[in-house]
Amino acid sequence: MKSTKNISKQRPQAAVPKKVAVVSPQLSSSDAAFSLDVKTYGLESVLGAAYLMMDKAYVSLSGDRAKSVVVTLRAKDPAAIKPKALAEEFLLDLASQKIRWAVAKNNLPIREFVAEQAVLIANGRVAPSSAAAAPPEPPAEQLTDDQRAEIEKLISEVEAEIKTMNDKKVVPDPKNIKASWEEKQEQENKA
Amino acid sequence: MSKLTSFDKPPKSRAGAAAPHQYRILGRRVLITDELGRWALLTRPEYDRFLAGLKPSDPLWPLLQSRGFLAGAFDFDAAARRQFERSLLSWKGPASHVILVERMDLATARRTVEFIFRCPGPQLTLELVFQDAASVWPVLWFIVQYARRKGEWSRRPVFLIARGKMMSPDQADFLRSHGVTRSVILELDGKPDMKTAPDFRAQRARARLKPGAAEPRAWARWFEKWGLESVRLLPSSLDEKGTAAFLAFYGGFLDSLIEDGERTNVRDEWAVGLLGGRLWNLPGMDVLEQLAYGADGRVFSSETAATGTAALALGTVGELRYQDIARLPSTSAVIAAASPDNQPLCSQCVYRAYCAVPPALNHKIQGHVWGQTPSSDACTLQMGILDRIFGRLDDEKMLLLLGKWCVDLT
Repeated sequence: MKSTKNISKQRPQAAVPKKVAVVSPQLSSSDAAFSLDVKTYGLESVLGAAYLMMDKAYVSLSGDRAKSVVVTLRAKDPAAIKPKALAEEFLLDLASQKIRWAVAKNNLPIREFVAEQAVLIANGRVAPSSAAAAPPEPPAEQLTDDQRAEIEKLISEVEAEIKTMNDKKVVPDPKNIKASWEEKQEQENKA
Repeated sequence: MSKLTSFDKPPKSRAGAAAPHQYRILGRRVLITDELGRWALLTRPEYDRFLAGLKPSDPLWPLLQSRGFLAGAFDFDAAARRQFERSLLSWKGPASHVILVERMDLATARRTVEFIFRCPGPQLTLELVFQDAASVWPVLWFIVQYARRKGEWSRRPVFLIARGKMMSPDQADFLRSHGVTRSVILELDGKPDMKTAPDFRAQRARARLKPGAAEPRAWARWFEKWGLESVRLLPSSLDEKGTAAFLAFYGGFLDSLIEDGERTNVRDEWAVGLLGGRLWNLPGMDVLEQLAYGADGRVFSSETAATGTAALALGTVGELRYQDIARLPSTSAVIAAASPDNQPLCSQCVYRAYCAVPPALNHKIQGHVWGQTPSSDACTLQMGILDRIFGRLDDEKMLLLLGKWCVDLT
């Protein structure tokens, strides 16, 4: 039976991102630097946006992670992208990160509850075991005497085949008689 | 714009309105997905309404409620079941086992097959990789025979794939009669010659695009004409140029399959693997989807690892026990690195439920199993593939094609 719940009444609401003033970067000929207030932007959003820049920029972070973080971007290929363009892209990503983290934080209780239920389902089907204990070894196949004999027969056949192959290796083949069907096709196509 | 995409003018969100989701701008539309693989394609005004809080009278409400995107009307039981089915809680073991048969001796082949059948899981796929069938034939023959018998004795479906060149008709007949699917490696250059028959007969292909590869639609028809049922396109190189050329080609290839949907029997392995929505469905995903075995009996986390780095060697068949794999540091490292939750970009990516770069591939191209996703060409490639697939999901023909490939996106 489905349990549809109005969870907005059950859990505390995370803060909705408020409209924040656009921060201006400090631009030099090679770098773009931002001083970002951690309370306003959120540390996760700042780190997330910085991480996403790593394909095109070297990113350095400094400051106090509880108060204010300075993000400095330097293009990996300065000819391809200017500091101003890097700064604009970082700001767009920073705004998107705020949305993504807001959705993630608002839904943390849902995700935790679902994960917990999934583990309970798993434990209901499989006998619980301590995390440290290794899972039991799959049971060895109990082969019958006939099956064992069949394996031995297979192996002796292959050994005989290998011996024949080794013996044949020294036989010359001037007319290419031993060539496979595909080898012949390949040669004909080339011709 | 970063890989995740961002709005020029960010929408306003209201707490308690939207359930957990990620978004991505795809042209004029906004794709939203949740981490359980549910999705919806919205227009920008629709997304703004959704984020601000939909009223039950809104025409979008039934669709988004049924797909679990409304926080105020969230079906917890359905979400928990879906989470259980799609998370590692339901993982049964690696299903794909790649055996590098070249120079493997008989005793190692036997131990390798025995190790593979120690792996749990409802079914097993053994992919036998070799250069020349003639030089490895006895070992190849033995593995096929032994794996078939082991499959019967353990009552598990076993799929066998032979990937290599040069087979005599007798050898090809033997493989066919034992249900072995033939896979070839092709290099696509220029446009296809539709009139000349290729010098192979196979059902599956890994087709690497050379820089001159052109006319993807014609190549799609060429695969169909010569009986290939499953194709995995590969870029000429994993760099910016190779990735861009690949994605342009892939888009045309997919368009052609969609247009010919009813007639074509060709299946795109990328779409099938990625849209499975489980880490252990992703082709080549270390340990979770795949293990690989070297000629000397060493067990690797994947084929990419086996052909790249000894750092991801897990042990040796005959000495390593399957149940010990989970406790190895290499295993912990690759599984942690593969999980989208642990990758900053992946955790916010709209394709989080469908995609992950195999850690061994990260190691190969970026020098570390974790990689650096924003600058990863493998990430760009997979994201580009998914953009092309999801960009067509509002087309009924695309949905029919996915249905034909047994991909369930409901």
